[in-house]
Amino acid sequence: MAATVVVEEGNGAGPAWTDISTSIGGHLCSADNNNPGTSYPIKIPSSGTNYSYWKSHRLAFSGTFTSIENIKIYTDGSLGWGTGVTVKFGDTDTAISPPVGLTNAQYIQATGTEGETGDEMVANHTNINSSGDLFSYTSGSPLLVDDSTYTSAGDSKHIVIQEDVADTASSGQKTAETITWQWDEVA
Amino acid sequence: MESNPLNLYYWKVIYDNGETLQEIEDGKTHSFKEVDLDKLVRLGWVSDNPNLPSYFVNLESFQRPILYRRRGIHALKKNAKPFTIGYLLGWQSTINGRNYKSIMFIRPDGEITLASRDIQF
Repeated sequence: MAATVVVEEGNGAGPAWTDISTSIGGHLCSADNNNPGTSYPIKIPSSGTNYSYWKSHRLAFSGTFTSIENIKIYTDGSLGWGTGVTVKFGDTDTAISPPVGLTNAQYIQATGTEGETGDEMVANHTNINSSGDLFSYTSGSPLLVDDSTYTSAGDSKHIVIQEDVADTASSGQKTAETITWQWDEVA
Repeated sequence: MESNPLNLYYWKVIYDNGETLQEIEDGKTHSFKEVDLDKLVRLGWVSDNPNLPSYFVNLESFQRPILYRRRGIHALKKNAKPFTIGYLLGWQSTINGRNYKSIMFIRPDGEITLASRDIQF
């Protein structure tokens, strides 16, 4: 028997954690919203950089299992959203030092100017002090999010991610990228 | 690497008295918590598919078992379900204060890599 595992996004001040596996959720956008559809695009600035509202994502696990540990995340190594766009993750340390996951107590609601830009996470998220390129982490070398061992239903630490949009970016909805969570499980 | 179905292999343990316990047995699913580690002498991954090999490791009293499914799930994907990346099987021991490991990384296609630390498939 394997654990039931879903990906959740935290929104609001609470926060409220929502399973984004059941919807096309997790869109990086210009609102604190886990399923904005085509609403709240990130405006391309005339100069400088705009940002998505940062996203807080974690694994939630339930069902029957003995343990879950070694939780990592990776991409295909190639962000296909054109020039001027990057997707970053945050770290509580002043230099990237995995594991990079934040605890529930370290959650901070995303802020910004709705419909235009989020606030940059290093400058505005109380518990983020550095950032790195999420797409530099691949299946061959994934990013460690949480090194805890979980032996009962619950949730992992959360990763904070954000999209940077420079004035050189091109407009339009982009093709969804694949971001994969990985963990080791004893049934 | 993705594979379906979710549980291509299931674990099996053999005790010092010859008795066995399997993750799936007689229509019932067992948790690894039920395994009596004090009596464990051999453990591995087995499949109901006769075309797939079984993998076992013998354990000495000073060796702690390593047995994991490495699983994944795609974020940002509608109706995403977890999938199996591969299987880990081996042992760990602390000898004279040093940590030793020997781990088989078993891909669903049967390819094996033996390593002394955690590696990616």
